[in-house]
Amino acid sequence: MINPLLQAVFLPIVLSPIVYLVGRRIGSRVGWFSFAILAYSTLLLIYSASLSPDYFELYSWQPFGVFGLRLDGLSLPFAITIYLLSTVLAVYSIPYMKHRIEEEVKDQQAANSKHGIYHLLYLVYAAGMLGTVLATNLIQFYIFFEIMLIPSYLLIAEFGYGDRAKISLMYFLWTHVGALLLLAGILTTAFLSSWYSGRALTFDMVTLLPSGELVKNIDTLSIPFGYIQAIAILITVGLFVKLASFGLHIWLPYAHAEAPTPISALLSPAMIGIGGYAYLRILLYLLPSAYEYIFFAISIWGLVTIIYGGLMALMQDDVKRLLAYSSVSQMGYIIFGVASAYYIGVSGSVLQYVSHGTGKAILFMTAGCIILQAHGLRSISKMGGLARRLPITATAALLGFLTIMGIPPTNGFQSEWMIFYGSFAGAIERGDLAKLIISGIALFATPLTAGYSLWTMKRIFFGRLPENLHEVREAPPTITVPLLFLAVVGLLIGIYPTLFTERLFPAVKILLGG
Amino acid sequence: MDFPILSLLIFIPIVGSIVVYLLGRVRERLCELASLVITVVVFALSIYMYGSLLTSKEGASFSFIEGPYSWLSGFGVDYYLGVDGLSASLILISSILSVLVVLGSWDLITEKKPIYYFLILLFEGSIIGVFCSLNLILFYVFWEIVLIPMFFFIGVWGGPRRKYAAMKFLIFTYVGSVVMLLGFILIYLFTTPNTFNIPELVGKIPFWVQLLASAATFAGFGVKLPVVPLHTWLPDAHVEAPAPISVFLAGLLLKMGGYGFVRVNLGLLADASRQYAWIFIAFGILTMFYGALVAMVQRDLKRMIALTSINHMGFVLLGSFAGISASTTQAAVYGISGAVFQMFNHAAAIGILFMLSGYIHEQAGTRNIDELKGLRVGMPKTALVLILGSLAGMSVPMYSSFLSEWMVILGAISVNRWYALTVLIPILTVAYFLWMIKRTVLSPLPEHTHYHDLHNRAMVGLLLYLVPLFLLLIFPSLLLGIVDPLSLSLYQAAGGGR
Amino acid sequence: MNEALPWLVWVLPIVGAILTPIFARIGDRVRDYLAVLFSLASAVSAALMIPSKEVIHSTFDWIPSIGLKAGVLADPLSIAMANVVAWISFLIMVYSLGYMKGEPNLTRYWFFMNFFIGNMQLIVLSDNLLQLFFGWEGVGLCSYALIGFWHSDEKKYWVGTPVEEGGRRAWGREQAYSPSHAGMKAFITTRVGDSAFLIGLLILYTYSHTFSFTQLAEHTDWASSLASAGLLIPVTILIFGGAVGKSAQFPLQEWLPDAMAGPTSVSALIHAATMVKAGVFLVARVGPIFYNAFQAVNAAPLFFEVVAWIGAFTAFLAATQAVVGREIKKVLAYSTVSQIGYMMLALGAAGLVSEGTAFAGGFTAAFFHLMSHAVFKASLFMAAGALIHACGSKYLSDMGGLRSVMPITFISMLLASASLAGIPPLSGFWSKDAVLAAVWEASTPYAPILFALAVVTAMLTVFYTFRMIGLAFFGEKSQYLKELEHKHDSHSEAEHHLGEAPKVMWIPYTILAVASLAIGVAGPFVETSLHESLEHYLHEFGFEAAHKGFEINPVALGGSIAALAIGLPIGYYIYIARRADPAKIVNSSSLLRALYIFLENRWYINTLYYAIFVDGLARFARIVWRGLELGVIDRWSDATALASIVSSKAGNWFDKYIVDGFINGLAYVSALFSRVCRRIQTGVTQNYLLVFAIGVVVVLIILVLNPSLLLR
Repeated sequence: MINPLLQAVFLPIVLSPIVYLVGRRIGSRVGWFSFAILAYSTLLLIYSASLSPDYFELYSWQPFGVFGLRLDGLSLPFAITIYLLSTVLAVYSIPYMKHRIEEEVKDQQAANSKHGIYHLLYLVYAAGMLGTVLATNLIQFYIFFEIMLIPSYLLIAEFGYGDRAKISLMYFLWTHVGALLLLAGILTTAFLSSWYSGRALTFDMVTLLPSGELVKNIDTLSIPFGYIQAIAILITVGLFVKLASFGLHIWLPYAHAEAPTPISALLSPAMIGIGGYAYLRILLYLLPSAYEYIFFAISIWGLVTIIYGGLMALMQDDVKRLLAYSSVSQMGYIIFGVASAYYIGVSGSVLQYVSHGTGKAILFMTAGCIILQAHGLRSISKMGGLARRLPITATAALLGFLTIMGIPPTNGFQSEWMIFYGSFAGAIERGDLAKLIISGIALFATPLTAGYSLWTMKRIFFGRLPENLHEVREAPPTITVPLLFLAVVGLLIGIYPTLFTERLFPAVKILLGG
Repeated sequence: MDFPILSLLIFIPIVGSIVVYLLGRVRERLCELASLVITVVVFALSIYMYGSLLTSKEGASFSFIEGPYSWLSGFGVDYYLGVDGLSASLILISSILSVLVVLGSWDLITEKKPIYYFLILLFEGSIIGVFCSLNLILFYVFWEIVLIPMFFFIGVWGGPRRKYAAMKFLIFTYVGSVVMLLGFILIYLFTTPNTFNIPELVGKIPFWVQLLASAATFAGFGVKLPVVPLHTWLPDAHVEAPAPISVFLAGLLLKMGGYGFVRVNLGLLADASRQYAWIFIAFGILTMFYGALVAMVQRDLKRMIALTSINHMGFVLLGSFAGISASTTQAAVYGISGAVFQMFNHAAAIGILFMLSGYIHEQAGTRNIDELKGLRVGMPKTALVLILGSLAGMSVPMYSSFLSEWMVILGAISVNRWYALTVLIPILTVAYFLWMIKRTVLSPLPEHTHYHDLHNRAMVGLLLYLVPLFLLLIFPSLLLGIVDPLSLSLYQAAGGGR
Repeated sequence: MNEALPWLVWVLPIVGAILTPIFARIGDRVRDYLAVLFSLASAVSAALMIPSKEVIHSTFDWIPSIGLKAGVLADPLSIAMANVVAWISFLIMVYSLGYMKGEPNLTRYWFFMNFFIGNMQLIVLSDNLLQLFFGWEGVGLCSYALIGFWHSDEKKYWVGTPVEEGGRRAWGREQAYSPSHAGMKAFITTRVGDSAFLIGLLILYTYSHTFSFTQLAEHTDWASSLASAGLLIPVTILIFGGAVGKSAQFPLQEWLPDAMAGPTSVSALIHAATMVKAGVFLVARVGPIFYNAFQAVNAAPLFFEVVAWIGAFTAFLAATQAVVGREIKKVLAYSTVSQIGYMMLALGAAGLVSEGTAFAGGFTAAFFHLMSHAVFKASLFMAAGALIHACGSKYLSDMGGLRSVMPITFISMLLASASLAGIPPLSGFWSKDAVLAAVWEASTPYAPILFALAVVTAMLTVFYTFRMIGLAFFGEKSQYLKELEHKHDSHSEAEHHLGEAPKVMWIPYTILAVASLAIGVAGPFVETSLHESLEHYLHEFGFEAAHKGFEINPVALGGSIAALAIGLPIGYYIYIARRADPAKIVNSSSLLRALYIFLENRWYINTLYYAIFVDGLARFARIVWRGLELGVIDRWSDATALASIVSSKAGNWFDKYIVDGFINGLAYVSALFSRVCRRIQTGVTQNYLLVFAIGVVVVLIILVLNPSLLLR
């Protein structure tokens, strides 16, 4: 097959206008088209992963260097997760957006074209995320980083709930400002490295050796430490906005709560975690010294984020807000793993992305299912006993919560133990007692997750069933099947993580300089 | 190259303008169609010219040279044409915009059509002349001719305060250009050989002359660009001018300033520019911040867009002078090419925005951002285009405008690390654009207000503006392929990189 | 074949669990019987492992990139444990057929029961700590799901005494919990222990680079490096923390009594016989390894000190609470906690012996007690279930005089209780005796104190056991029962008919009761053989086998006899012969009364935990929410937006009044200028051309001044 990765990234973008036109004709069912497109692209990803453990496609992109798409051990988990979720959620969107759009638009024609627009944006959004994780060129990376932002902004603004105008604006501004800080960091890095190493200015993170392997192309060793510090701070802050770490997280609860649920289920598990990926690809890979300088600070930041997100989740009554805050807390784990300075820990946070991807997607989908079946009900205090009315949903929700709690055999546990093992090992390697203690505290904070998860479970699904919910029915298969599918995938990875780790660990080792 | 393509580019429109006028006297529809045909022909020619330049990679040196044919012999005033990467790209965008403007005018211009299209074509011809004349006086002549149609556009088809605006516009640009002319004359007098021909002047001008001339040309080009505080004619002119003319105004007329800076200050007055680059850069940064800040509080959509273009043109100034004074070749190329690239992108991006503001004004009867409500529901197509256009305006990386801006910023960083602060500019831009969208597009539709949405032809006409931006994002080498060599040669000619 | 057996033992039930929903489609009976069948299959394959003399150890690559293997390890310890688990769970599954008859949602029930068995066997048979942790959390999950089986939380399923039923408030907090709440409580409390466990084993792994028990045992160099980092004792104790959570030892014991909200069959299986023993098993697994580790760095075995003390104290604590239990299941739950305390105590004592040969003593004692306790406590629970079924009430006070009504249940329960009380010659007597002996032989200065605690606990055990028996089976029928019978006479079908339980229920617990008798009769023989096989097992860890035959430690014997001698008469006098009214005795002195309330409120530990960890956390969260999140962070974005707008307004003002002002001046001048020109009948363009001309003139003038230009 010819350049599968290029297809995987650009096929959805290229076909999106057609999907729009089809949507104008057939309305919500156009979701099946985007499902087909994304499924095909997912297969392409798997196919190209099967070609080689470090599969890449390079295209000339003068004068900015090489437009490269790289599917190596590090980007594989991200790429697969992103497209898997997008594919599944495309199906999920069919019934959900039908309901959502009918709420607002009565006229059939207008509704159809709205479906078209939704799926157009949806496809571009998914492709943007994929492009981000496959990019090998800093500019290319940034371009995709923003391309995934714009459609999501429009999706929230167009299909969201509540005060969507203000919230989408807030979402765009926060994340865009973060992205620009990142951009400043990237540009300064590229420039300074060429300045001090005397080599030509380049934005290619990697370059192709005659031997056919990719090696690091940007030499930052000669940059004075003062600049390194500045860059480290720039990039960290920039990416931590995306990661919604403590203090920079405020956009997230709004955006995730008010976005249409399928989009929340992409935003929260798939998109914000990409910040973590960027952190690995850019800071760890290009600026190891910056990482050395900052990893302790961000491990504390991560810890604070974990606990803070958990506490805030305890306070929520709106189920989607609760999930949003739990995402904040989960991102804290990712940060914590990234800061472990040990390859298993870092790989752990990559797996954490995957497991949070499956788990949180499931949870948002169940929330959406409740909203759908209980006529827009979102307030937890008004729920209860739904397990009897929505057995499948309840099962899926339990699995989702177990995943974010890190209970075996869900994949959440794999990532959890790797993260903490990594941070212990990193601390011990460095003989860093403080880090050891921090790691201990972080691990002791995990019951907090269990606390809000099970409590939510109890409040939503157990106990008395309110009168007005007696007629609630289980959702159609277009909703339950995706749920169960994701749950199964999660368990599969949890029992047999080698699917990813086999390539992940070596890649991360290289990332951390062997 | 015996076939005088440049002259054709200039004189097909100018001659055609008279034809169109006469046709217009017969039937108005005819002149619309005729002017479309002519602009398309010009467009085709410019594509051919550009393409052959691109394929032969002749960006650095002048090609398609015609002349020098002596005109006012003895005064060094020759008819002398030629294009390099800079002129070629600007000519291309001029011809593109002319086509689109003609298309757009079909809906928006209702009265005095014959004379209107006459002026349109006159404008196109003369501005192409500006971009490809290699003789300073010839340059000046075209430069001044451009003012005439623009003056009438504003004064005749403009809004309520058109008299004031037209006068303000004229005074400013006119005073500016006269000062510029004096600068040219100084150059002529005190260089040997005494000539106005740009290629012969390169590197020959004494330093003190360069200083004076720079001061003079700064007035001329600075007004056009415009540089704060010489910008104040621009918002009024835009507000009063009809939408298609705003496209010309912002899309092409401002580019004359940028072109002048690159061609004259960087090309001829290189030493002075290198020495005192920081002054220009300071003005550039001031312009950028100022434009962005002031744009934020505008109530009039069009005025906001106008100030946006000020903010964007600041990048041109910053980029070109950061480039010429850069310390590494690479950075220089980024700076100068970035500036040229920025001119090109800005022309397209600002074009769609102004056009759209025109449509909105026509259909909603107002341009006041606070009164425009619920476009999302009221006129979905318009809303969509508005969002797409604004994204181009805020130069997010869906469009090549993003590339040009970061190239400029990068070039600036190489001169002084603190110029990295200009990365704040895009933030401000995004802020006020999104704020505008929030208030107009995403707000609820007021009771019993009814808008007419765009019709499809207009929508297509608008979306065409975005095509080059998309293309250049993916294949930037289409433009930079010929601009980069130019920037490089400029830089080396200016004694950089040794 | 042998290779496959251990896998089968834990995989089969899980397969069964996964198939349950599918069987449910065929029919409910099919589902139920097949579920039982799967547990039987696993039990059989467990039994088939017994003959194999050599250790079965089969592994496969799990996460090769970090050399992580998954595997099963069937050595004497795990084989014995596996069989205890397998057969008891099989019997309980059978019992459930009757006990859960007619309940809705049984698919869920069978699924989790089988899933539980599978995970429990995974714990027992896994050959490394990480895999064990999988099972560890798996059983936790099942326990959560099964405690909350009646998640619709009707009042009748609550555990504890609600206030309206005369329950007591502790610090104004009602001491009754809904099933879903209890399940959550159980999960979160154990999760705390698990976190400690996880920390411990991860740090251990960073030094040992292996999770595998065998490798940990083989080279103990990790011990020295841990010790040099000063982490040996913390790590071992953290790992013990996991056991504390799962086995409901102090300070994490509070979840188990409330776990009684689940169906009785569940309490029997998970919260008496198997899961709560997982902690003990874990300590038994790592005990020898740690012992060697401490020996290797010849550090004081503080780990075992801690284990012993926690065990002893928990045993005492829970026993005192059992004395005043109102609900039969809760009494049993307290007693479970207390008995597990014994096992921990024994294990601790095992590690505190002077030389390795004696290690086997305490080790055997603990495991023996684990076995016998599993047997009689499972039986007791099932019988209690039968009682509750019959009376339709969980309160002891609602029973009484049932020995005539339910003779079989009475007999078997009597046997099991006797075994619990440690009356010779039942199994409980021998095992408890072994425990006491081990404690007495422990070479620690505190051994006498521990021993005393153990004996007092034994005494209490005897007392509350016979209190339970007495309240349930002797004396008059309670008022409640009378009414029930009356109702039953009046119209034939009441939901509970007072009478003997159906076969499918009483057969299992009778079997177990008899088993406990049988083990008791063959007590010395069982103990010796167990001792030998375990010594043989410990030999793998380099412990010298002492090959001591069976002997009775006189002191221990004296201790248990004394306990009987004190506990039995009192219990008999008050509750069986009913010679005295306990209520009177309690109310007779305010001190006794205070003590009674203190005990009934579980020493206020439960209440304290709620005050600190539930309310405290909630309050803290609320403060942060109000103060920080809404108060500060939420305002940032708005503030920045405001600031930028203000600044740009300023810029605008500048533009209007300063720049434009200046320019308008110019414009005015120009307007004037143009008016002048207009007077000469010229349009603006003309005057513009005029000026252009002037410009040209200027050029000419300059040219004239510089004639050299003309000489061309």
